[in-house]
Amino acid sequence: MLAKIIMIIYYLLCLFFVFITIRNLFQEENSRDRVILYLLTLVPFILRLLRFK
Amino acid sequence: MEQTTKASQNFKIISSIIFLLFVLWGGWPLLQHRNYKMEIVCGPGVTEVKKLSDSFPPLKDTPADTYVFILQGKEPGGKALIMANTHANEPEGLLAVSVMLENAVVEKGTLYLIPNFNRSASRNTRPGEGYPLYFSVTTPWGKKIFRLGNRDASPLDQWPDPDVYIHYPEKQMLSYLDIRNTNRTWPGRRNGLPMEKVTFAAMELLRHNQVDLAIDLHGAETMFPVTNCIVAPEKSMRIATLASLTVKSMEGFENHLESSPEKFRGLSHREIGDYSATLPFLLEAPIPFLDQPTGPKTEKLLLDGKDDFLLSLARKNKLFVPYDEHGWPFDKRVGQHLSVSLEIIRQYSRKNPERGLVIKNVPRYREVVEKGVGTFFHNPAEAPVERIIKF
Repeated sequence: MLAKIIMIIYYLLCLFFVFITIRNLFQEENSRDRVILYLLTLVPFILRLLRFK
Repeated sequence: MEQTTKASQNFKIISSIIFLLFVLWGGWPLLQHRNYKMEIVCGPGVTEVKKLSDSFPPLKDTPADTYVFILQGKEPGGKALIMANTHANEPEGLLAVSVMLENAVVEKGTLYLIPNFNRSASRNTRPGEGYPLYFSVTTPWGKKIFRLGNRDASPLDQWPDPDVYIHYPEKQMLSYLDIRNTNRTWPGRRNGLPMEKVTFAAMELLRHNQVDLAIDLHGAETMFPVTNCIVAPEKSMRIATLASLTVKSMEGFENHLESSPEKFRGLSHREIGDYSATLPFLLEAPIPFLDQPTGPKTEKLLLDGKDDFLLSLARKNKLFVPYDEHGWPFDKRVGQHLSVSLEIIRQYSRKNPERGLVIKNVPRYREVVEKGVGTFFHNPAEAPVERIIKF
């Protein structure tokens, strides 16, 4: 039961990080490096949210 | 200034699209693999198809639930369980049990077959080692495709892992990863994590049905000493010894004995015997694909077991099995599992006639090696729909 709760919290955390990273991506005006960094950061979270891996 | 903003916007859009394509390119095959269905054509001997959750209802409708096929003979007798894909990256067991499912006819006693014991692991993979997602076996009617899984259950189905896995009920400390390994979670726990529930359900099946024999089919590296063998605890050793000697003298292949260690907990060959009246056996066939110092982990290596690095090591006597340029092909591994399983059941039946089993129509080692394992699979396109099980 505890593991299930932790799993749910983890998915919520993933969702939160995806949300703030995409928000930062939209707000980024100057640095191309940061755009790439945000996109790279998104990959594992998206893979988990979509239950690909 | 406006131009810079526009260029920045374009860069963001283009790189986002490229990244999304990368995610789909890498992720979509994994999703397809997870949902790919393997097919079994139930042979004439299959009298009932159940699920593991029938022995332990909390497993019902979870990704860990799996099929249990029952082959009941007309004459009452003993009962045996054969399970495969405890480790889903050791698929010779899956093929051996599939051959039994499609061909075996039980005349006396009852045979329980679980082809995909750790279903979650069979829907997992090991991309870091470049595992192929599928492998196929050539049959007279075309290629039969199987999913290649991983050793442990998928983190999508059981997560988080503990820092240290404390085995229940023996309290031995094991690697955190082994909490998802169904050959470390025996005898299971009623209110445990999913893989502990899987092994608990299997224990319930063994206890409630008073199953006499449990055979767990595996594969092991050629560089690992516990390979090409039967692992048995004290109570199963007599039957295992007879089976080992018989296959050596009658069928000409080596399958030595290994004693189940008392102080290493969670393994089927230890806990089934300690927590039920069933006699457990674990069979290991050599699988070069699992060895570390090999070339790429290709489907070809999985099937023919031929590898130049292993050949070089064999010449330096670094392997625990005989190894030459013929490799260690799938047919040989599946044939060994079939012969040794049948021999264990036969030896038990000789010693306990009232609890014996009589199983017919299952090919043995020599026949599988000569004809190829694919010969024994039936074409799902020609089979009645109600006899096809997808899993």
